Parts: sequence; C-alpha cells; structure tokens
Amino acid sequence: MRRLIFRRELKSNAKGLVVWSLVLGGLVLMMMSVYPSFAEDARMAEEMLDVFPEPIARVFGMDTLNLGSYTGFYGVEAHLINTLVGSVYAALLAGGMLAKEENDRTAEFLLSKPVTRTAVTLQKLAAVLFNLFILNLVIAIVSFACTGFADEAVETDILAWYLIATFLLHATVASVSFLLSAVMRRTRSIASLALGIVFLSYALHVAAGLSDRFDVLRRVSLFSFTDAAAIAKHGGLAMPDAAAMALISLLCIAGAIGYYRNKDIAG
Amino acid sequence: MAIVELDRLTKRYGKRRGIEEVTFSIEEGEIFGFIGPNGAGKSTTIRLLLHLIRPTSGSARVFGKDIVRESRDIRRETGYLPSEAHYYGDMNAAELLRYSASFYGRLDESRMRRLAERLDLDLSRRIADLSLGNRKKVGIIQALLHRPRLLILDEPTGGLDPLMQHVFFDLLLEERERGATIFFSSHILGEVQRLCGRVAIIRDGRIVRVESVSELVRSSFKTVTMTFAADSRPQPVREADLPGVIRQDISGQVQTLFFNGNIRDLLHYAGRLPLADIRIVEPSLEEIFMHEYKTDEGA
Repeated sequence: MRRLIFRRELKSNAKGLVVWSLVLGGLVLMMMSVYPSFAEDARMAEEMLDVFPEPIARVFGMDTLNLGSYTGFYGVEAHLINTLVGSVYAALLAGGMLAKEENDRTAEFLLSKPVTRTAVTLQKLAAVLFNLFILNLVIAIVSFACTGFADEAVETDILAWYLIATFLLHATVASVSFLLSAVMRRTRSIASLALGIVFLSYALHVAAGLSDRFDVLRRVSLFSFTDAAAIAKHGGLAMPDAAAMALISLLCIAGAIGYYRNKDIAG
Repeated sequence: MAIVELDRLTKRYGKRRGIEEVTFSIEEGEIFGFIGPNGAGKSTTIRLLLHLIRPTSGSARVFGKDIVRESRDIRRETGYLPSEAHYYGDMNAAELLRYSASFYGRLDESRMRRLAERLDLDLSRRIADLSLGNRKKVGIIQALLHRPRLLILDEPTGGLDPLMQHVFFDLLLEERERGATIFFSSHILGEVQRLCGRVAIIRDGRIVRVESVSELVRSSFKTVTMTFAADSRPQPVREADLPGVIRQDISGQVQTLFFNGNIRDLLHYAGRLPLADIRIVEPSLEEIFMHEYKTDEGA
C-alpha cells in the first residue's frame, strides 16, 4: 500500500501543525526565558510560593517542585502548558480525522475507492500520531535548547520523562478523540465533546490536588498520569501511569477500527 | 455473464424505509436503468453494492464477488458517481483527479485532459469554487478515469445543462463500446428511455418490475390522438364500441385515448369517425410509469 490517505492527511494538516508547533514552542521558550532571573534569586522563588495558598501551590506541584531548579520550574510552568495545550490540539486533530469525511460528505468518494475501511482508519491514525510526534519533537528541541538558560547541571533525565509523559498523554487524548471520530458523524459535536473531556479531566486533576479528600478524582483524570510533581518525586514516569495510558489508547484504537469497519456511512 | 446480481437484498433502517428483498441482475455490456421516484430506495441499493452501508439480509455479487467480503476487489474495477458529489475543497480539480487515480495505481493524464476538454471543465479551478454542475463533471471524470468494468451512476445528470447531458450520454455510449457495463439510476424517464436496454422499476423499497425498455413500451399501450373535423364533436368512447380504452380525454376537437386493446378494432372504430387527423404513438416511459404507479396504488 502506498499510504495515499496518510500522505494526503499530512499535507492537509501541515499548516495546522506548523501553527500549533510555533505556538507551543514559542510558549515554552517564553516561559523558560524567565527562568534565569528566578534561579538567580532563589528567594524570589520562595516569595512566589508564599503568595499562593498552600492547596493552590500543591495543584501546580510547587510544594514538591523546586522553582529554583530548571526541571522544577519547567514542571510548574511549561509542562502544564505542554500537556494542556497539546491535548487540545490532539483532541481537535484526532476528533476530526475520520468524521470529517462524513461531515464534509467526501466519505462517499474516499470509501468507493479500492481501500478497506481498516486501511483508512490505520492511515488516518498514523497521520494523527505522526503530527503529534512532530509537535512533541519541536517541544523537546525547544525544551532542551532552553537548558542553556540554566547555570546548574540540569536533570535531563527528569526533563526527558516530562516529555515522554506529555507525548503519551497527547496520544491518549488523541485515541479517545479518534474513537469519537469513528463513532460519531458531526465534527462539531465531536470537537465539543473531546474538548469537554480534556477540560473536565484537567479540572478533576486540579480538584484532586486541592485536597486529599478528592484523591479519588485523581484516578479518573488523564492529567494525573503526567503530574510533574509525581514524575519528579518518582524519578520518572510511574509504570502504572504509563500502562494506564497505553491501555486506554489501545482500547480506543481497537474500538475505532472495529466500529468503523461496519459503520453505515451517511449519504 | 451477470456482472451484478442481487438476491433478496434487504436494508432496514430503524424507522426510515430501506429496501426490501430486491432481486435483479445486470448482464455484461448492458446499460441498465434504475428508475423510481425520490426516496424509493435507488441510492440505498447502489450504496449497498459499494459497501458504503451493510445489508440487513440477502446478498449481492458484483463480478461474481460478494459485496461485503470482497468489496475492495469490486471497487477496484468500478467507477462510482454519487448523486450528490462532494470533494475536498482545498484541492483543485486536477489534484483531486490525480488523487482519485492513484488509488487505482495508474493515471492516464491524457485521458484526464481529454475528458475535461469534452466536458468543458477547467482543471485548475479549486473544488471549493466550483458550481454544482462543474462539481458533477469532476465526479463524472473520477468515475470514468480508470476505465472501470462497471460504472455505477446515481442520478448522474442532475446539475448538468442539456448540452453537457448530451456530451455525457455520448461518453457513456463510448464506455459501453469499450465493453463497460453501466448501471444508472434516475427519476427522469426520458434519459433512461434514451440510453438503457433494460430497466428495473423500484417503488417503496421494492422492485415493481424488471423489463427491457422496448418491451415496456411495446407490451403496453398506445397513445391515440384523434383530431375531429371542424363540423363534428368527439363523443366519449363506450366499452361496447371499442374495448381496451384505459383512459380518455376530450379537449375541443381533440380526443386522446390511452389504448391497450386490439389495433384492428381501433382502426375499424376510427374508420367510422369524421376525423381530420389521427396519430398512434408508443407512449413515453413517463406515461407508462404514471400508469404503473396508479394501478399499483389501486391494488
């Protein structure tokens, strides 16, 4: 197979990818460029911590993460933006991927060509993952380049783990959205639902951080899998978190392929 | 050999009507018409053949291959024009056609240019900027481009002006010359009558009849138009004088009969009338069709 649909999707999504990469890369660069002034004055970092009430500080991992270190500062500032903004991109990209053919009524053209439904699904999924990989590559390059701002020896392994966790989270959000895209037909409803899941998940993550009593919420939020403080404390991405993301992704992808194989295409 | 064979093919949607036990077959090299009013199940049948939707029961084979299990093999040698053609708005016509052709593994650039020229389509225009008729032309070319063995056309003439319809019919005849089998649906009987050898008539999701067009026209009725001399007035025909008049109509000096009785009885009867003119013609498919539907409703 010559991956025609994959190539078509890369081309038609290229502009979006460039924009989102520039935005996220730019945001990371902007935030991390503030780091040197923080590191210079450790007291300033502590003062900042005092400004926040304790539960809020905990939500952003400021109780665990040391704002005076590159990875600590990154974990509080950039990691949050990477996971959240990147998830929005993943949800929109994957949510539209299959359903847009029905929504724009091009499905009848595409699916009357000699391709199997499974090939269509897999090529479109590959396009989603490839786009997310490129976005994460850009984030990674900027993140490592910004270590130049730091005077100390940066814990590059922790930084790498942040990045790996971010990519896994994006892939998970994308898989969930991709399943919606296979099952539903209207891209607009899918976008609302997928973004709803992202923001609700983030809200639950925040709520869980506010008090131990909400700890149970932690288990239903995708963002808790990539919690920066947990990664820093653990010295890496915890195995159960990685496994949970992988499992959710695989189930959603299998569901999407299975459903789309037998879907009645709207005329 | 039958190129398309439907065997009690059924599709039910929850409340909406689908098709019920549709059975017919199309021979190689035929131009086969599929007629019926909007919503009768034409598109449903066609979309089942392409596996865009799955049958509830029954089966069908195209080129002897099962439409569910061997759909991709079928589509490799099929050209399909959907009734409402939509294509990727960000491409121009040539890009779309090249993309389409790449799925079949071969692009005949000169055939693409030739078809575009015949249909008077500017290949450099963006799909998003095309009118309905021009989009239809893109659809026609993408269906014909890879020289398919079977053409499935769903309401192909909608949106085409009469001149383009003419060109399009010529193209179809050339395709048949090449050996292609053509299956096309329409609710415009004139175009079916003009092109097709046989037709299937569908109504409310069921096949009413499958017949050759000439048979359909011949077996049934004559339309008899009699113009009376100026000094006489037409009188209604009584069954005792001339059996076989299905419908009659008098308007001024002109009497029209819808007749399926013995032609010699008709001539004998007409010979005694003070006529200025008489015309006996085969009715158009439209007229038969109207009649078909009326009788069915009565039954």
